Amino acid sequence: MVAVATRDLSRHYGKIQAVNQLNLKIPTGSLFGLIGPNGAGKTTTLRMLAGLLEPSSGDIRLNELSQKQYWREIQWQIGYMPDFFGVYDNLLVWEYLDFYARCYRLTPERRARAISDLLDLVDLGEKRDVYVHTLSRGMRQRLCLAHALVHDPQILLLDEPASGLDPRARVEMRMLLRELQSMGKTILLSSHILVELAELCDQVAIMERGQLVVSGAIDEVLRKAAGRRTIAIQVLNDPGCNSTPDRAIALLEQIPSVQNIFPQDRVVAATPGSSGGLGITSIEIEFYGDEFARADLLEKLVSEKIRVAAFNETITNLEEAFLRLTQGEVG
Amino acid sequence: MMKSMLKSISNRRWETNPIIVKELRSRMRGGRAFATLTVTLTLLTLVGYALYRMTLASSTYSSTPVSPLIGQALFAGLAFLLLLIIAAITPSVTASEISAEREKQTYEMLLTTPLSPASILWGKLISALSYIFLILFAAIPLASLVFIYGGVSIRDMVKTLLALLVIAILFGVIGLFSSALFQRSSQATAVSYLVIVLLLFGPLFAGILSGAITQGDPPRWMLAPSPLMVISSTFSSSVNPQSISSAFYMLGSPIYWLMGSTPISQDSIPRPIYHYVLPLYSLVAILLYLLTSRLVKPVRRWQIQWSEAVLALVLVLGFVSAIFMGYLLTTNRYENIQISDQSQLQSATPDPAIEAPVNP
Repeated sequence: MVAVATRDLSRHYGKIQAVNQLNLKIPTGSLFGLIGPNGAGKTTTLRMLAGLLEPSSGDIRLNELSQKQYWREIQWQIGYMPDFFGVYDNLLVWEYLDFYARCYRLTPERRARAISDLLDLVDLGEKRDVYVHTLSRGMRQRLCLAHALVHDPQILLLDEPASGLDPRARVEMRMLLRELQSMGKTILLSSHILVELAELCDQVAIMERGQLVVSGAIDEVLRKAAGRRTIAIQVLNDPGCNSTPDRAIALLEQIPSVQNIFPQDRVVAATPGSSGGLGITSIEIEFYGDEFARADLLEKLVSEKIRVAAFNETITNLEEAFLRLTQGEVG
Repeated sequence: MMKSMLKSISNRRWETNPIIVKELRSRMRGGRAFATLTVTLTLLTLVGYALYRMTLASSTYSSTPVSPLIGQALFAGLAFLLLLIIAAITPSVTASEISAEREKQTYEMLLTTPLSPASILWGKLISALSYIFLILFAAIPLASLVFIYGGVSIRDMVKTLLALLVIAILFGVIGLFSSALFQRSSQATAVSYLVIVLLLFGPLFAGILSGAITQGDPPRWMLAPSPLMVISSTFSSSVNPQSISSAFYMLGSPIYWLMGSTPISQDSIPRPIYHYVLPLYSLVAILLYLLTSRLVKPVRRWQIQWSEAVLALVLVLGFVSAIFMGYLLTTNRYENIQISDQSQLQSATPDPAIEAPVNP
């Protein structure tokens, strides 16, 4: 089952293209993270999915229902938490949830049960009779999440649910989301805090300037990002052993999986007292290939008597994959 | 389509509109609502007392009995004051209803619920008006002081109260409309106050201008749109403009314009102004409401569904035909009374029957 699917979803504000031909597929029951820098179109996408914004073109299907035709039915199946939200003044916490429960036409018995269950779930049971506007930021965030759950929706659209939270509240939010996922809900959340998504989500999609850069399971995204990784090679400049950077570059140029070579032309360190231009030259290459290809590359360099001082890839985690992938990639 | 509409109506459990529950919970909390009510009633009491003293002072040398004069001046004064209080309070309550939701960023969460924009609007209108009506009804005991002095019929008082209610609804809808139209509450409030002040006093200024140009009384249609005129016309049958203008001698001529009625001729009685203007106000309120219910939608704003269009049409046509029926039913009380048979003409003092002399 696919919980959320978009096809060529686009939205522009005047001349600014906020979302451009976005194709997403989110399987039911998954915790899906939408990552991107500010202005990438994450909020616009979520608002379109929540039915608050009309797409300029393209289709949205939620739980296999077309949004254009079945938006009334869809309203019952989604819970939406905006990135910026306010609360009503002069309203108690339980009254706040009661209001939304009434909006979803819950019967009085179900309403009472839902309110106490949700307050327990988001750990606000003691704050039941406190004014909403006196709650702290983290509590409000959890209350807002509770409001989105009042009608037990299948799909949760959460826009930056962890923004502005202290580390402790963030951990609590993460645990809460895991619990919701275990209840069988599909959760789509956006964030720019990548470390968190890496730990939390099954699947991620990276957006930039309204376009999808890459999407899939976390490992897959990492591998895709790693598919074109940058390797930094430090070569000892030792003419006595016939190991010069020029020869190393000439060698590298012969290898097809090496795309770009950026010789740094910089002597990293010179060994004092040695004759000639002894030193280390750093070369960065863009390399396409898996671990075996990398091993082969190193073996080739070594067998050609190039003295390699260091050989390491620069991408190690999602954060860097993200930075690498969104660096003017689309524009 | 009709079948599904009926089914959806019959299936729906009767539940209070959630917006009304929420608004009443939060509005009546804290001292503000009660402070406003107290200030309003105190103001009404003070003005009532001042009117009493003014009428007493101005009728010292009058030959007419003082008591009904006091009653009439008190009643007219309170009615006008209530109208101004409604004009002052209603926009402040309604003009921020939608725009404040936008400003406080609670609107989107509300719009993702299945609560329809029409019910959001309805809840906002009812909860705002219920507060205005609370003020109006709280003023009734004060207004009933009038009956101590006499001079005003209960019928007129009820008419005035009904007119005030219709005007409050119109003002409320104007506030809601501008609240939905403008993004900022301050803008919405300013615009709705402007519209209401223009509606209240614009016709009077136009009347003064035209009076100055033609050196005569302005035509009555010119003043008719003003709620001031409507309120006056509801009690003009029992309140003598002289009794009020003696209290407010500086406002003499506007009061005469507002309260004077066209002369009653042999065969026609003019319909009071409020017969025309109150239905017009209601119609404007209905149309503005329908328009606002489109404006509050974030998406599909002008995609009108069949059922919605039919409902709106039924509402407007039903209202217009009800008013038209009302006109038809009351037509023989007012203009163009056709007296075909002179013998049916009854007079207060029947002609003495003179029998023809019988010839012996």
